[in-house]
Amino acid sequence: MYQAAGNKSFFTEGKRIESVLRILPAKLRERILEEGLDFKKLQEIRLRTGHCLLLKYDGQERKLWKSVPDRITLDEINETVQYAANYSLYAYEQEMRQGYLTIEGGHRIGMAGQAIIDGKQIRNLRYISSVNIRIAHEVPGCGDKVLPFLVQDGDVLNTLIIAPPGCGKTTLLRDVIRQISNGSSVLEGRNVGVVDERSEIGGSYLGILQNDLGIRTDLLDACPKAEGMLMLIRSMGPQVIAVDEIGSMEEIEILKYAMCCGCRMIATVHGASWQEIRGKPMFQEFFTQRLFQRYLVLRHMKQPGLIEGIYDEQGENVC
Amino acid sequence: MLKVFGSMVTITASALLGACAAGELEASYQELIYLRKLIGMIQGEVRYSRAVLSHIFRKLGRELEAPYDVWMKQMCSRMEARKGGSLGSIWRESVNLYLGASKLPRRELRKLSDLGVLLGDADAQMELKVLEGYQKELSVSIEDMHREIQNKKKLCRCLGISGGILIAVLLV
Repeated sequence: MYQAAGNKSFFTEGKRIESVLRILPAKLRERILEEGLDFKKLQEIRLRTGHCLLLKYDGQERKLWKSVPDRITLDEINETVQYAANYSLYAYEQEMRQGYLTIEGGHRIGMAGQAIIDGKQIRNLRYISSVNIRIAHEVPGCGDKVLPFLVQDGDVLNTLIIAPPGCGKTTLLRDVIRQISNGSSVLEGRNVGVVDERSEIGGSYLGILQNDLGIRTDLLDACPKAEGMLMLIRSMGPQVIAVDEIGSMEEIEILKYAMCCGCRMIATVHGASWQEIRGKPMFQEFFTQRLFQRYLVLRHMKQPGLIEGIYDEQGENVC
Repeated sequence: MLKVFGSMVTITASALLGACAAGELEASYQELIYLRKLIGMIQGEVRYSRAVLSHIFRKLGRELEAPYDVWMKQMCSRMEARKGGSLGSIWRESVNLYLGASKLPRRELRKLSDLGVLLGDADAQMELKVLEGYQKELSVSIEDMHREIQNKKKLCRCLGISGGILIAVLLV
């Protein structure tokens, strides 16, 4: 599990949780505060119309339910969406199409409702009935144990972090970026280019980074990953490029191109195991061409950040 | 001599009143032009930067003149306070509170109050069309007002002077 090293954080935990509570209607905000929670352990807040407030706290589900009036109303859901979007849903049009938006601090607000279809594409969501707030945590030092396995002869190895949603991929990636950028006992600091399509890695707000990504990091915020990687290679000369949640053929093509340009790559992908990723046709070339030298798999457990194994390009466990 | 001096004072005062009334009309006209410029700035920010409204209002609050700067800053802080209410109601209250004393014609103030209900939509194109539509309405109002105030300004000045002469005659 991640261990906090007590490094200075850009965005304090109190401020981080405040940015989450601010998007909730006053009644729900008070309801959560009444619980007297340790917000470092709060992972998710789920709101569903007609049901009680559900929290994922310290790996366990927790119902906030006292009486019938505790049921979440449609108005409360709408209010939450309006607050999350700063009363400006148009500004999140692209993200809404994918069913989520990211708020200050890098927290992801997932939504479910009725899709508005334009031809074959989803244009937007309406009648939103469920909201899932995934709370981003910065855990400085959580990459300490894995970093030595991602470095060989003082050079960063191309690494793919594999984990199901909610297992701490982004948190781990964030700390690995910070350590590669600042330098550590196992390697000297490198110029790191980060393409943060969903503003989750840097949690950038009004152009200011909320998370510490290190002194040699250049961040392209809210930029599509494929275009962003090309822009970084052309403009910033990164030694290492980091991206979160690769998933399209275009992204994979650019990723391969970046590796051929001499850049090292740290990427994450949704998946349960090394074998599962290997079995996906989209990722075949990773294995046939041995593009990644390290595959870091996070375990799907109640606690985020548990490492199942670190594998080399041949699937041999190195850790 | 005293009568002549008194008459001159009366006529001058009355003419000044007429000029003031004409000035008020001109000021209303200029306010409308300024409002159109403001809406254009919001539209530009939405189109170019896709920024959220509170950020746009904060930025404009630093650039605009009174009373619009205060209105924009207050809109931003009220939206960010998240104390309930829709954008439409926050907008309406702020317009009445901070622009109620402005020189904008009442009818235009009402139209401006109603604009907030249409903002913040999920579709950026729709948002731009709403702002564009309101800007067009403003342009029509400005043209109408421009035609009207030329005559009204003349009328105010004439009435001021002739009213002064009439009072002076009656008094003498």
